[in-house]
Amino acid sequence: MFVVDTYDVIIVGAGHAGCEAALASARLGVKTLMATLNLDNIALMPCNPAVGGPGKSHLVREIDALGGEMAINTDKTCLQMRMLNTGKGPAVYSLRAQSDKKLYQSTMTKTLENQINLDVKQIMVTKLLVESGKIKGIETELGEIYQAKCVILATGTYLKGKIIIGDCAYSGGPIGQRSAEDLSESLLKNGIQLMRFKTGTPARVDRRTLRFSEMSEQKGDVKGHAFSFLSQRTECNKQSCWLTFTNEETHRIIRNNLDRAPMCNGLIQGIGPRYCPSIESKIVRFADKKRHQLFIEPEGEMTEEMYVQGMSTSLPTDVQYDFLRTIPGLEDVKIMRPGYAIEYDCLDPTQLTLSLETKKISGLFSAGQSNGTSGYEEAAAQGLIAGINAALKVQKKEPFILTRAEAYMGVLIDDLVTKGTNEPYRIMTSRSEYRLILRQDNADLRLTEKGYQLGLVTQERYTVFLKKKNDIENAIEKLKAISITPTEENQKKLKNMGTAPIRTGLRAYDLLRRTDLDYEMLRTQFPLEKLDDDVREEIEIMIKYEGYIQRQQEQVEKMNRLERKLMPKNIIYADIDTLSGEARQKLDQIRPHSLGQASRISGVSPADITALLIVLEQRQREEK
Amino acid sequence: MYDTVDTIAAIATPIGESGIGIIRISGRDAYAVGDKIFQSKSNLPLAKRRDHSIQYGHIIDENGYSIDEVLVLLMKGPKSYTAEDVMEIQCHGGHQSLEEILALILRQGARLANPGEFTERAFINGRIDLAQAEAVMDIIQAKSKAGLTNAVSQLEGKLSELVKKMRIHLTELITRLEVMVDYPEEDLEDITVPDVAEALQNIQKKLQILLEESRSGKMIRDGVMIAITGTPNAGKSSLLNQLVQEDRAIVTEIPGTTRDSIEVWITLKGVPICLIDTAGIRETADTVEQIGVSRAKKYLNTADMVIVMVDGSRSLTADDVGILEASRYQNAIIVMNKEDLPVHVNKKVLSEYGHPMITISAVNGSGIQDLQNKIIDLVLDKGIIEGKSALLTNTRHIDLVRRSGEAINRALDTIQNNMPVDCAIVDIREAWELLGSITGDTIHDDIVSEIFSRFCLGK
Repeated sequence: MFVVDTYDVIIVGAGHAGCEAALASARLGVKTLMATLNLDNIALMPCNPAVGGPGKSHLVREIDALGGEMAINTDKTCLQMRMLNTGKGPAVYSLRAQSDKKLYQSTMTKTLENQINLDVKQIMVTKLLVESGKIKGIETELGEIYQAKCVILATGTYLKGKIIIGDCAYSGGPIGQRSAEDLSESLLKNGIQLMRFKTGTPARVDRRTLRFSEMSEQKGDVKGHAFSFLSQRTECNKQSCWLTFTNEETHRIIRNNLDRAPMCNGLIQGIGPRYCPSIESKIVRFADKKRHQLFIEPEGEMTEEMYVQGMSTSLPTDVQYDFLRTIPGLEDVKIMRPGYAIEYDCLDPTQLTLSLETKKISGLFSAGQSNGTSGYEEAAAQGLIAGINAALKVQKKEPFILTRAEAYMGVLIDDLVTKGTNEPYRIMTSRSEYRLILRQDNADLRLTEKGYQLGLVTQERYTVFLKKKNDIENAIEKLKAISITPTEENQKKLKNMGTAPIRTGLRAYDLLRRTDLDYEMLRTQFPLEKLDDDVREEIEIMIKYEGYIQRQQEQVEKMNRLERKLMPKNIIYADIDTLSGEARQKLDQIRPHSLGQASRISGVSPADITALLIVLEQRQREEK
Repeated sequence: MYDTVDTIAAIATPIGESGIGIIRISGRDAYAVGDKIFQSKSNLPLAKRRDHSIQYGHIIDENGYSIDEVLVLLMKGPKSYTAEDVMEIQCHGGHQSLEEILALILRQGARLANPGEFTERAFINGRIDLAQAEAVMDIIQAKSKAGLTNAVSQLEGKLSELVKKMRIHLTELITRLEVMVDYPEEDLEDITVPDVAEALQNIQKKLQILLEESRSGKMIRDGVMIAITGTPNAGKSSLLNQLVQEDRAIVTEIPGTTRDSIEVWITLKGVPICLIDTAGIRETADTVEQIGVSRAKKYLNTADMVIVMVDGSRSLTADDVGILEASRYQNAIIVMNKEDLPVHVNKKVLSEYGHPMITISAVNGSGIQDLQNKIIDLVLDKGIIEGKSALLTNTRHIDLVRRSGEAINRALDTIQNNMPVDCAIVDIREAWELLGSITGDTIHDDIVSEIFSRFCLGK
């Protein structure tokens, strides 16, 4: 056996999870290898060419606040950006970028290749090396051995990947790549349970064959945006998206050809996501809907390929041509790559702890789509956490765990490992119970200090963060210090701003609570300093929504009482006869980190939690 | 949500078991709540007063009215039963007084304690050991099981049905709001502010009705107050004795709780009933007739139901008519006594009052069974509760419904003040969760599932 090298951490896969995992691990100072089956496809976006959106942009900001790469890479490679949901409340403002796919990949590749402590190699991993419940390394298809203290699986949709178009099915990864055929067996042999999921993607079409006059143009915002707290907010509007709709004729063609759809002809067994259905399942499930919207999105500046968002399909290509050509603007369309469905193996995430380590094999972590999620952002978030925790394990430190009240990352991982998932999991803001606290604008205030303590946040980022924090405090103090009495002069100032007069004296701080006022308006009438955009936005949100935010903070504090009670590692649930049978079995399977996590397991009732509380107290007294 | 931080309160003495009632408040804000409701000569906040002291004063409601004259015991943590700050209010044991004070405390920010929760806290906070805690919990559990009669569980089934329906409306509303937030670019019909306001007002109305009717529902869990009225010699005391004899499980007889009557607790088919015997009232110098009428009127206002006794062996007197008139619009049963004697009363006149009529003999006990059945009929869904849902039978449920109503109100305020929809969702979700804890299902995944099943979404 040829042992090529020995690493602290090996990452299997170079998608969005793999990249963040590799960078985090290397940046924390441990010797790291990222293994990919194709060096040309690092950070590939096999689905739509976009980053962000509700919940997802929150994740990207959090990744950035902790010192991850996705936000910076997106800012560098975007074609346009838009802020969505601006009318619906600050907690759900969501930034979304259209990305230049190729540029996104090459930019990320360059970052990876230049990272100290990190090697990037083209390797097909076929086997995990496990000894008495501990990971020891990996074996490649060429029989080489790489030894490691920790291994992170970030295999995306490549495990036993199967591509399906119409009645044609073949083994492979997305976009004509190889699939990883042998690793699944190795996982099964080591007692890891796998699920079979499915997802799909629409056709890519030739820009030159589209009639743009038939569609409505969607430009990016003129106002500058940035995902990263380190990036300058500059306008980015290089390319447009185009909006158009299906019609009755489109639906008729699809309906007439349903018997040829893999979901009907039995070729697909995997479970697909409800939120990302193919156009054929949309038409079956929502038969009364007269039209479905679709966006034609640019894939990059160096290509004429365009992505038909909303039309994911695995119907045969003749049908794809037929129905696409019924759509306004697509009458002459030429397909460059047909839409397809992909089936793949992934881990049942309830086998993982909150640090994303498998409970069965010490040192084996898993992150991303291979944990049953979907989306680049969800993958990257898990990659970062797995990378951090693998490095911490090598350094014999306690794992880094974010709670549901601290980050969407906490919500995502807690949901996955506590409840599992029976379809590809997508983050949504409605999954968080503390949404007003977990905003994208305050991701740095929530997390950068933690990232700095970990050693992942650079001095540069930390300095920027401290300045923002300081500026916020000063600005708030200043607003509190300006008292406005109901003098004639002041009433006139209020009138100038178009707001109601005041009856009693109040502070500028209180005035800013009014929905018809903002900081810039106040600044025209009162002696206030000019603030950086992010500082100004932050204080406006903090002041205007103070009451709501405070109420959520109280909810968090209540829940924290349970979150802080940690379950002993050696607790034997089967022996606790005050628990219900179902609770005993579920608790033993999930092995929750805290009482809070235990309370979220389905089948564990409040009575069971009381019983656990009593057991914990008893143990504590015995120890004393 | 399971909770060990907030301040809890409950009536600590069983209903009808003593002339003095005790309400216990425990937790971080026990004294803050206390300061809002307790008025005494000293102006010091309760937290500043001497530990383990007894304070004399009045319980004052939000409008400044005195509810009761009380003694307050202060026991600061950790030297208290729960090892938290504890305040105990000793008030008059009358049911109404206790209930009113408790309701006031809950409105001022405490939460109703779950069964055994004081003991649980005493244990968690290290005050008592497990064996002690278990012993106490066993007693509490046994009691609450016995309290669950058929009548009660029947009504609770109806309640959860109703709450489930309301939750379906709320789920729908939340789903429509959430989908707008999570899928801003989908081709969906946006829900407008007036839509949201209307939906919230509808729910609010339903909750309000439920609360207003809660008093009649609560009778079933906490006891139905039945006043026995009638002119002297109509046989009130004999009837009382008959009803009491039938029921071997009398709790106790307590004079003086409402200061001028005798209350006797019995249970009929599992429903606790408090019989108020107006015969027990000391007679004054006023003419007997007038007292009879005025007493009847007084009880007509406070009792849940009235039994008007008439002597069937003689014609109706002016006093009989006075009492009957006063009971015209109340829940009442007319009991014609002295069946064993020749009938002289005009039944036709009696029937004009529209109340059910029962003929008995309080001397030999005939007709008593019929009367008991009639009382239960009225208490359940036929009479008293007719046309009303009357489903809120326990204080925990009332508390939850009240709190969800408050949350809905806040949500309405939010949208009417032009705050973004996201802020309103906080409170709508809270209302939804509170209602869910009545039926025992508060699962977040509901909403996510609902979003996917109702809307066509995706890339």
